[in-house]
Amino acid sequence: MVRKKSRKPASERPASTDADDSRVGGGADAGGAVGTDGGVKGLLALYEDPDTILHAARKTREAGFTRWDVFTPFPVHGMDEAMGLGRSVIPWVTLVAGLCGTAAALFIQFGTMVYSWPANYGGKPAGGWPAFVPITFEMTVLLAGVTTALVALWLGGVLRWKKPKLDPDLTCHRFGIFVDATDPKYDVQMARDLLESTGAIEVRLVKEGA
Amino acid sequence: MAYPDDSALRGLPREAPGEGVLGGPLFEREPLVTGGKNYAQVTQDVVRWSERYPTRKWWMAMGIAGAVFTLYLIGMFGTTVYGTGLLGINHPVGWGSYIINFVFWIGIGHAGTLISAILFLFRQKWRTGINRTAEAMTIFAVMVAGTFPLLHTGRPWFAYWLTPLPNGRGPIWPNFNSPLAWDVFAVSTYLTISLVFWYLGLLPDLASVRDRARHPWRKALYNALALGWNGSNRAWRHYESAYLMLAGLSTPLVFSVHTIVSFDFATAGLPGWHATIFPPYFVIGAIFSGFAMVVTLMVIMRKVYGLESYITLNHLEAMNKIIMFTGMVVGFAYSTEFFMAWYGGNAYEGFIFKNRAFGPYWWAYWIMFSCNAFIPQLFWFKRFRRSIPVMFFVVICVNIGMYFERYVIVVTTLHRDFLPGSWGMYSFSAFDWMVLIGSFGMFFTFFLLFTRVFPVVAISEVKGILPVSQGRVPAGKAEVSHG
Repeated sequence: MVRKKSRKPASERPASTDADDSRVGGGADAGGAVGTDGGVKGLLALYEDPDTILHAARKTREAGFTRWDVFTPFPVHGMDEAMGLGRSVIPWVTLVAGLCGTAAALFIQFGTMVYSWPANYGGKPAGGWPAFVPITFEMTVLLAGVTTALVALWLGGVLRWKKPKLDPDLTCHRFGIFVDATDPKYDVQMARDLLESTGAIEVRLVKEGA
Repeated sequence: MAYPDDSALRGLPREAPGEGVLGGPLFEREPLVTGGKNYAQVTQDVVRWSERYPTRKWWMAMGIAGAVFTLYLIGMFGTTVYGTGLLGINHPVGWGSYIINFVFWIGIGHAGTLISAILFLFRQKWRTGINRTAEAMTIFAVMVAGTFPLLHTGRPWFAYWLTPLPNGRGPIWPNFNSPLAWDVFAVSTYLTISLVFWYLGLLPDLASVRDRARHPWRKALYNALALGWNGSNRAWRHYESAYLMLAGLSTPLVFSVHTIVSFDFATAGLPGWHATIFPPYFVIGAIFSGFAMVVTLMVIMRKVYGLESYITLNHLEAMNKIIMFTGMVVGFAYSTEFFMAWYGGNAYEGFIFKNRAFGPYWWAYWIMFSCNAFIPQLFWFKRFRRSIPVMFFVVICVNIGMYFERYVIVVTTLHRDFLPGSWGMYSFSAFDWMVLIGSFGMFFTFFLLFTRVFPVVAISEVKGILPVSQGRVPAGKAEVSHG
């Protein structure tokens, strides 16, 4: 995706339009943007249930942070709104990829059976479109499905070798909010107070290389 | 109320008199997961099997499956090197066990995507306990199925001719008017999309496994498999959207695949095949046989892997209801075919159906009819729907019955041609048996490996439907679990 100026709110920018390393929690590979605090990547708060973190995420956004993220072991309903993220662009990707599949299928079938080498199969017309419907449908689904999955993972930053792994429990039973040290509003004490006040069971600094 | 295990489940909402908002009774659904599990326990219960050395039972099962798989490889080798003459097919039955096996296995492969896509769109949350295994089953069944048409061509090394590759033979292209060319696209699309859907669902769980791993090899393996998943909500957001899109795409795909398989028969001008009922009849039969296979596997797996808390009797009962319903639709389709043979007034059509039920293959027909239409009627009774021995008996019958459905369709139409001069009988050769039995070996070999390597229950999805995630129970007090 070409990097472009976004007119959306800043909080949404890292996920939907910026596919490079400036993503939240990019840390070590974030173009040398290291935290001010002696190699500190940011502040991680851990929670133990989805309701608390939903509330905490809302508070974090209201505090004006822009480079932060929420880590959960399963998708928490309402988190996109709480973080101020808009609707995903994925449905449009699916539509466009599906239409490409349709076009490709029609191109192949008409191209081979009408233009390249029209053959007489039992006296049927060479370009009988009803016979082309099944393959057209299958190729639409094929292209749409594969593209959707790949683009979704790519936009989500999953297709990268180096990913911040903040805490192994975040894929098991803990819910975390991570505020990046490169956030313009980042201030250790302020952020720590905020996160602790939202019911975090633990707030800790994440160091470079951790 | 606590639900320690299956014995506490009744399959009905629990009535709490006087607890409703206005003082009336409150009806609460039973939980989808019993045993008052919390998040960490879910991960532990599912992942622990891939973290220990395989049990003796697993090795025994794997030994048998591997041996049977070898049979398949020998059969495949024989028919590839020496030709399809080793099989029982001969004039007039030119489509034999390979086509029967193909339709049988691809039918089984329909339950997985139905469970993962259609039940997802219908917000049937009970699917979370079974979808992972059902999807894996789908993929392996479609892989097994896919080998048969290739072998059936007799020269599988020319299989690439089925694709519209630019070539120096004219160029000669595949005939896109032919349902056999449609099949190539349908089956390969189905396999690809099922794989993508399955893998997308697996990603968060593979990350859970990765984050628990200690051994460096294990870490490296799951690190690669989980890509860069770390549970970020910015990833979940696109992920969930993509999952919904894939579910929406897969739903018509499930119907299209077996529809196209049925076109292989229905577009032929032969009595017994040339019927407009074929697409819905094949699709519902596929769902029927697929659910039967899912129940067969689940009944064993939940016991062996101790997953009774996640795949509860309520799950099995729900699947049994679908089996009963689809079984009745299949029975209705059999009857409709007979009615149309009489009502249509075509002498050949009438003959074929009389010959099906009362001709030399009457036994196959009646095995089919009783296994598919009569025996699932046992599920009218709740006691039978919730009894493991009864349901195991029924689903095994359905597996057998659905094999015979394809046998009946393929063989009885072909073996008595329009002219009595070209009548004949069909019987299996040793190679037909080897490949039929061996295909189960291939399927179970893959399935057993799957249960060792991947989380067999969708961990992240199950966590989302735990009572604690629904906001009904404060975290840390997961023992008190209402549904």
